[in-house]
This record gives sequence, C-alpha cells and structure tokens, in this order.
Amino acid sequence: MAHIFKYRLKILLSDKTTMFWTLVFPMVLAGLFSLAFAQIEAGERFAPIDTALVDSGGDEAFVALIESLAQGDDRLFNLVRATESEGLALLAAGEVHGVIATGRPLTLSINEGGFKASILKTFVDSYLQSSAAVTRIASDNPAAVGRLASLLAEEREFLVDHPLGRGTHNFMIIHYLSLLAMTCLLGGYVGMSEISAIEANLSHHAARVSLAPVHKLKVLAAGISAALILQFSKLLLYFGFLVLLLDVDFGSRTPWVVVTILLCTLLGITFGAFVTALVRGTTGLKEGILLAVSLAGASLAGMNVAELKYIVETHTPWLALMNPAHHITDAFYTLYYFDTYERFVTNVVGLVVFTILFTCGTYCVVRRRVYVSI
Amino acid sequence: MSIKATNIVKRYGELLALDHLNLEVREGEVLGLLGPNGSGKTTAINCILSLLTYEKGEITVFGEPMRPDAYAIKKRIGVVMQHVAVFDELTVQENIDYFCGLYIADAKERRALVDEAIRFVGLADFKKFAPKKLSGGLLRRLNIACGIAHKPKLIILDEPTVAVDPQSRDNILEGIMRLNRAGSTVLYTSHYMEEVERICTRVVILDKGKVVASGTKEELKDMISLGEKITAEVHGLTEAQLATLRELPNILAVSYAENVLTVKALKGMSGLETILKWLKQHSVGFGRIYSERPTLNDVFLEITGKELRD
Repeated sequence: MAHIFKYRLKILLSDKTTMFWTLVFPMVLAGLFSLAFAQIEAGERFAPIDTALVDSGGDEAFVALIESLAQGDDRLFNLVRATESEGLALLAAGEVHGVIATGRPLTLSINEGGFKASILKTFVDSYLQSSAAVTRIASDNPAAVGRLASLLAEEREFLVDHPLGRGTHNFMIIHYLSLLAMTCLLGGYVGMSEISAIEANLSHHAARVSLAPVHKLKVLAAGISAALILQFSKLLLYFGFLVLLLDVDFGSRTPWVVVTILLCTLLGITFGAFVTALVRGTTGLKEGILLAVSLAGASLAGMNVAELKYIVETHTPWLALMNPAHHITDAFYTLYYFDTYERFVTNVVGLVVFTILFTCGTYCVVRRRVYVSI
Repeated sequence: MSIKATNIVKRYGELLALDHLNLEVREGEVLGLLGPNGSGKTTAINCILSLLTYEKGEITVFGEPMRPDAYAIKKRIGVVMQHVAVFDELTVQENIDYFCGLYIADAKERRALVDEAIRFVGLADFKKFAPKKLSGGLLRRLNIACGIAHKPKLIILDEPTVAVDPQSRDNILEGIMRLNRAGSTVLYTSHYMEEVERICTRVVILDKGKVVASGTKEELKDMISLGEKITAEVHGLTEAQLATLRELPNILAVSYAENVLTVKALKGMSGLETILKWLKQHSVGFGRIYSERPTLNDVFLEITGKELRD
C-alpha cells in the first residue's frame, strides 16, 4: 500500500496537465479577477470635486468650513483660491466644476449639470439654509443660540445598522469563493487519474495493474490517499495565494476554513472519480464533462455574476441543492459572514452527502474485475 | 500443464472472437500462438488472464481455475502486453520497481530483482532515463522488464516486437529464450512467423478465433503437401517451356515473373535435382538457384488459403 501510495504521489506530482488545471488555471483566473475588481473599485471611489473659491470677505465661517472639507485623503473638494475672473476662466476651461464666491449673497457658478455640480449645489444650499436658520433664531430668540450651537455640533443618527453577521457585506467575496469551489471541483482531474490507473478498459497501465496479485480497490485507496494529500496541499497553496498575495478576506475562522477545504478536496476528487467511472467514452470526453460541470457549477454559484447565486437560491432552490459548487461556496461564505454555525453545518452535511454519493457510485462501477471488452 | 483453456467461446456483440478455442501450454515450453491480426490471439490471452468475460468454457492455470481474484496464480504470471504500459512520469528504474512492487512486497528483495531485470534487458545505462527519452526498441525492452522483473514461472508475451528495429528484436527474442532456459514457461503471440519459427518449441495457429493447426514446427510442415520451394534467376523463359515444366511429376505450382522462376514441389522427391535436370534438358542458362523448406506462412496459406499478413 505504501509502495503504491509513494509512486502514485510521484506520478500525480509530475503530471503537468493536472497541475495546470488544478492549480495554475485557478491562480491565473484569480489574478484576472483581482485585476478586474481593482479597476471596478477604482471606478467606484469618490474623486474630490475641483472647486474655485473667490473669497471676497464677509463670510469667514463658510471659508473655514469649505477649507476644512478640502483637507485629508477623504476630502470632498480640491480647492483653488482665485479671483472671480480667474475662477470663471478655470470653469470655462473645464478645470473646475464650480466657482463659489463669498459675500452677500454667497454664489455658485457652474457650467452644466452633472453629479459633481449637483453635490456642489446641494452643499451650498444646505449651508445657506443652516446659516439662515441660525440668523433667524439669533434674532428671534438670542437665548437659544447656545443650545442651537450644541445641537448642530452633535451628530444624531436616527437609523442604526444591526449587522446579521460578522463580515463586511462584500459581493466580490462571492466571486472568489465560487472560484475556490471551482478549484475544488477541478480536483476531479486527480480523481480521474486514479480511476484511469485501475480500470483496465481505460488505460494500458491499469490493464497491467489488473493482472497483478493485488485487489484493485487497494490500489485505488492508495491512489486516492495520495491524490487527497497532494490536492489538499495545492488548495492550501491556492488559499494562501488568495489571502496573502491577492488580499482576499476569508474572515477570521481560518481553522474551520481549512477543515472545509479538506472536505471540499475530498468532494472534488470523488466527483472526478465518479464522472470517470460513469461516463463511457474517451478520456477527452470525460475531461470535457468534468471541466464543463465544474465551470457551470461555479458559475451558478456566483463565479461570474455574484447575484446569480441568490437568483438560483431563490427561484430554483433544487438546482442550488444539486450543485456541489453551491454547497462549497455557501460553506465558505457562512464561515465568513455569519456568527452562528447552523447554515455552515447544513452546507457541510451537503458536502458529506455528495462525497458519499460519489464514492458509492464510483464503487458500484469499479468493483467489477472482469470486462466485456478492453 | 501451465495453461489449459477448454472450449472457450467469446463474442463481441455479433462477432465471434473465440470459437470453441482449445489451448494447452505445457510446462517448460515456448508456445507460439500464431495468427493474422484479428485472429483472436490477444482476446485469448485476456480471457486466460481473467481480464475479459467469456460466454463458455473453462480455463485453468497451474491446474487451478483462473479467476480475477486468483492472486496466488497471478503472482506466478508475468505479462508483457502488446501496448507499452509504462509511466512517463517515472524513470526506467522506478517503472520497473513500481510494477515489481505489485508482486514483491519486500523492498530489499525487490531492489535486487529490479537490478537484475535492468541488466537482463540491457537498460543499465538508461535506468535514470525517463521513458520519453528512450527509442522505440528500448521502450519495448522496458515494457518487458516491467512484466518479468518478479521472475514469474509463466510469461505471456503479446506481440512484444511490434514496431521494433531488427537489433532490438534480436535482443528481445534472445532474452525470451534465456528466460525459457532459466525455467520459465512462455506463451508468445505474434503474426511474424519468422519469430515463432525461431524461438517456439510448439506452435498453435489461430484463424478467426479457431485453432486451425498445432504441433511442433516440423509437425506442422509435415501436415501440408508442399515439400520444397525452388527459386532460380532465369532469363527469357517462354510459355511453352513453362508448360513442359508444369507437366513434370510432383510439381505443385510454377510461376515466372521478372526473370525469377519459382517452383513448388511436393514432398518425396528432390525438387532441386529435378529442376536442374530440366534446365539442362532445355538448355536454359540460370544465375542463382536455391531451395527452401516450407515456412509456417506456407502452412498457414495451405490451411486457410490466405497469407499470415493478409
């Protein structure tokens, strides 16, 4: 058994095709995802509004306010001090989105509509309303000015967030999790190798093994053990690549994540073994089916469009239930997002059930020892 | 008796691959299973080894019924399949060690056997090579080493010299004879009658899944009427001359093409002497002239009406 294990491990380790599909391909895909997400984030990040300030005096409070909003990394404005004519020239040249002139009254000049011009208008309107309210209260009830100042200083929130889970709600994590699910299912290539190594009608090596005085299920057990260790190591490497190099946040329950990876590794291997044993046809056909099912499963679990995971869950729950990639993605997601383990346990049960089904199905096919034709 | 297959019937759908095949391999012999492609040689071997199901018949190996789980029997059999079955990911030495390890658990004993097998097939200089780096002939030798490293009592070789250069073929055939001399019984299949003639002590001729003849080479040749084949280089023979030649007693067939005269003579006469006399009588000059005994191909041709390599 140790003899077979040693050589199966060596053979799998040197198999470049399997290494590509089970490690290099997912890494490349994750790298591409990371680049695409970085661009999306950059597109969504708020850019400060270029604004010209014409300070004619008489409104120090406003100048102090707008200057405070033009400082720091998360500033609202990029402020340029200018004369009125300079400011209007900058606006005409498109170098600023608006020109604010202090004095009586406070004026805002903008060229055309748009998101940034709207923000500027809202900001100036809001200031004018607040300052008008303070002026009126000061003239009607001077005693209340002190209380008003403290009220304005105090920020009151009337809506409070109560997060259901521990993680930050992040749609991008779904993409990575489904990618991880796909990588687990692509471990099926290793399972495929192991079945090809024992079924005399699939390879000449297997025919030779079938002639030896050793039970082929013993050879399979040794091979699957080697495959499990190798594939688990590859998935840990892949997990490390996602966390350390691509900075993907899988939450703080790392030990449970690793246990889940182990379960998913076994699921992937048994899935490949099952497809190989069940499908009649060439190795190319089996590989094609394996790849297609893995990609389709991961896509339905949100690899390409994160919302698809929820659409499938809501409208066709039976499809989600039958999709191993969905259980894998969901198991990782519940670990990342939820405080409790209830849904995680449900997913783990799903993973185990699938693994048992694939194992039993494989056993039923490969237990025969004589062939009608080879 | 090493192998006894009785009345084996095997079908692939409508095709009758083995038609009540009876085959015996005696201990210590090299039995050649000769037949054209598609005659059922490989199917017969796969049935004997319990790789394939068969509809009817019985097979015993070393006197015991052969079954897929007959591990005690399998331990004493070495098989060299028609296709090269080695792992590209392992070196020559590792490949032999892997397959030998399926038979021999003890690592120390195995190491000695692997070294011996490497020396036996002449791959000592290539033991750290990957199979991809080996030539076709060397690859075949590796294939053989993987099948015989555990020193089996019965060795089954299924067309081990297909697509092999003459030098490697010689090496392989010589190796098989050495294995036989060392005490192994050999079942050797081929459609190359020269190989079978060279190494086999007994021959079984198979056609369309049926045994059409069996015996020693001499016994088989004695079964047919052809006694001698005479070939001569002759220029300018006329049809009238050839007609007189055909009328001679004990002449089976005469053909003349591209200045080469071929005459097949029946047993029981000196064909060469008759032809020489005839050439002299008709004042026909000739170049090279020689006489040959019938080959197994002639046996096959006379029994089945077709060439072995048809």
